[in-house]
Amino acid sequence: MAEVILENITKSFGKTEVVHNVSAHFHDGEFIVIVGPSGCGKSTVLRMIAGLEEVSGGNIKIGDKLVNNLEPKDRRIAMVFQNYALYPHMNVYNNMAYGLRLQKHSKVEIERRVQEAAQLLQLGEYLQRRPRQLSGGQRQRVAMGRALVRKPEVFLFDEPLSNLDAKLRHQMRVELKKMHKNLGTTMIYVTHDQVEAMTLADKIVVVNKGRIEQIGSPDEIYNAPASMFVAGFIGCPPMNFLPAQHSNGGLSLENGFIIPAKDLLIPSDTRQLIVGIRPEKIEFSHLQRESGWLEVDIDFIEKLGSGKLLYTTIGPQQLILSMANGDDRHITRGWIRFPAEALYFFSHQDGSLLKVKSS
Amino acid sequence: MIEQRPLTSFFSHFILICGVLLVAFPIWITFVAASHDTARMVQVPLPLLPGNHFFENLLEAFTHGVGNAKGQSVGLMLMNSLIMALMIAFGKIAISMLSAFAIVYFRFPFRMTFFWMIFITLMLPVEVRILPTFEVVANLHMLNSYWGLSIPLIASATATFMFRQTFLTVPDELLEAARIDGAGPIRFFIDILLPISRTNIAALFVIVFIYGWNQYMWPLLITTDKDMYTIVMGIKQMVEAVEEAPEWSLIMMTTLLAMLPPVVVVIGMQRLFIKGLTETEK
Ligand SMILES: Nc1ncnc2c1ncn2[C@@H]1O[C@H](COP(=O)(O)OP(=O)(O)O)[C@@H](O)[C@H]1O
Ligand SMILES: [Mg+2]
Repeated sequence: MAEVILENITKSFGKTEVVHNVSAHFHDGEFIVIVGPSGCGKSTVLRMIAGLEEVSGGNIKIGDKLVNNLEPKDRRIAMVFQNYALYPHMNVYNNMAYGLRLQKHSKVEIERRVQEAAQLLQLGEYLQRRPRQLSGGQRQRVAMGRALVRKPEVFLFDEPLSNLDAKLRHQMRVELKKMHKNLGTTMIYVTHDQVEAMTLADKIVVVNKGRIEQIGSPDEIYNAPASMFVAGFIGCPPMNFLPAQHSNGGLSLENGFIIPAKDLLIPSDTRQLIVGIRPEKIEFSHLQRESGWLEVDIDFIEKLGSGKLLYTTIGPQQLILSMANGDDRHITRGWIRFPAEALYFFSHQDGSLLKVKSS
Repeated sequence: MIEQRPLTSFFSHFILICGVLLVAFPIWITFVAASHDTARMVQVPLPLLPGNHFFENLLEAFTHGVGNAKGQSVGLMLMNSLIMALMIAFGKIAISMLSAFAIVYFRFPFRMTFFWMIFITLMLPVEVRILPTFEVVANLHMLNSYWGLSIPLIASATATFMFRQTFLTVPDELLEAARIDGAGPIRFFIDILLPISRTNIAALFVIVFIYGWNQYMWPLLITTDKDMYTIVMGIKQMVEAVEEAPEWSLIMMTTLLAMLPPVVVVIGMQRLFIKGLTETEK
């Protein structure tokens, strides 16, 4: 059990700095998900926590201990890799036992821990098999088992589910969450998949280009994104963004439609801004409506089974609406409205969230 | 080939059988010659069917030796060859694995320089550097010794290069997993790399064993003591017998014996050998 503290971590490979001044405080027992697009530096951060990469600057503390100069094996962590990194010539039992043997645990203790992990992960009947005789999901479990038997204070996962098919991924996600509940150990999990982030995390860290964009609970990240990047990255389908300008009557979009100002709290000090709205928050009607509603053509419809996505355009901008099933008429046009309380406003310059002037 | 047309089948078999005959015929003749007495082997026409002196010849070769190497039993020469070939094979594998390990897994100054220096020795086999190498071996008093026979042949760029390629295909995560598990460099080498490369080692062993076994020039140069003769140079000495006609039956018997160990090695390690050359999954 341990907390993990990152203080002003930087990392450079040669002259290029890929992680800039990252600070975060992860509490004991939290499930942290570090999420961001590919190449943003999330693996590098994780590998620095593991001790596989040295930090170029800053401090890492696990528990109360400064671990900057400790070898990975002395950091009381365990790591699960994306490609599992199982020892190909060892059977499942030995894959799990290898680390324990090096730690000089007794034979009995090793046997006990491996059996325990095998039972938890339903690997009992595969203990004598080689990794290549296992399916992807089973290999994944073995990799988990190898981490589990170490009884670490922090689990580190680097995209552990991304080599699995969608169904298994979901199943493993649920099991991982259960495992976390049972063990209560701090877990740091890296992924590019925002669904995994939303479903697994107690706390999400959104990373972009080597910088932390926002840290918060899934609800905070979803409902109060700190920037356009976070808003666009979290949520599927992503938030719609529409450039807009102040005008007398409210906010004028690029096609001339004006979102009426009467109930809007618009940040007043900027003329140009970007309006964001989640697809499921846009109201839709196929009956003709009056003022405040915008008539749009529906370009096409994507059926998801549980609901559907409507694609339309406003000026050059694509707009996605998410709707529940129900009306199965073939929709080609309709009227939409942007509820004032569902709008986000972002800076035209740097994409940061603009504070709404409270009235 | 999936096709099973009779004509294709016939032709492919025909060609294969021709190939087998071509390779097998000289060996058959060797065997036939080894089973007749010396007198029969100087009469024309030469026999094509085995005679009944096989075991006599075998005993004779093992106990007395032949021609210039008279008094040197074939058994001793076989032993010398075996020791030399094994020393070369194990030495080469050990040295080249370790150098490949250093080059792939450690960052040290002039790493690539060292790699290319090793690589350049590809152009310098023993035959090219035979005089300086002889000088060195002589100065180290290793003439007429197993060390002298094997050490100059041990360093190998090819094998180093091969192991380097093998190690490069081992995913980095494996090393990282081992580091987290607490394995240092030596543990990683012994517990992970060695078993992973076992098919490559086997393939290399077969190739290098035969390379060592077939050495002719180098042993000829540095052994003056008859006790250190190897079988391959021994055969040559037998043919050069001066005062009498070559004892073909005994020479052929010796040749037959000289062929055996490489054949045993190849057959014994065939499965691993093929795996080592073709397997890509690590
Ligand atoms: N060993 C390395 N040497 C040089 N550059 C690296 C190295 N590892 C990662 N990088 C660079 O650092 C950046 C972040 O990589 P990484 O942390 O792996 O991203 P991701 O968020 O996809 O996991 C990338 O631009 C990558 O090219
Ligand atoms: Mg990564």
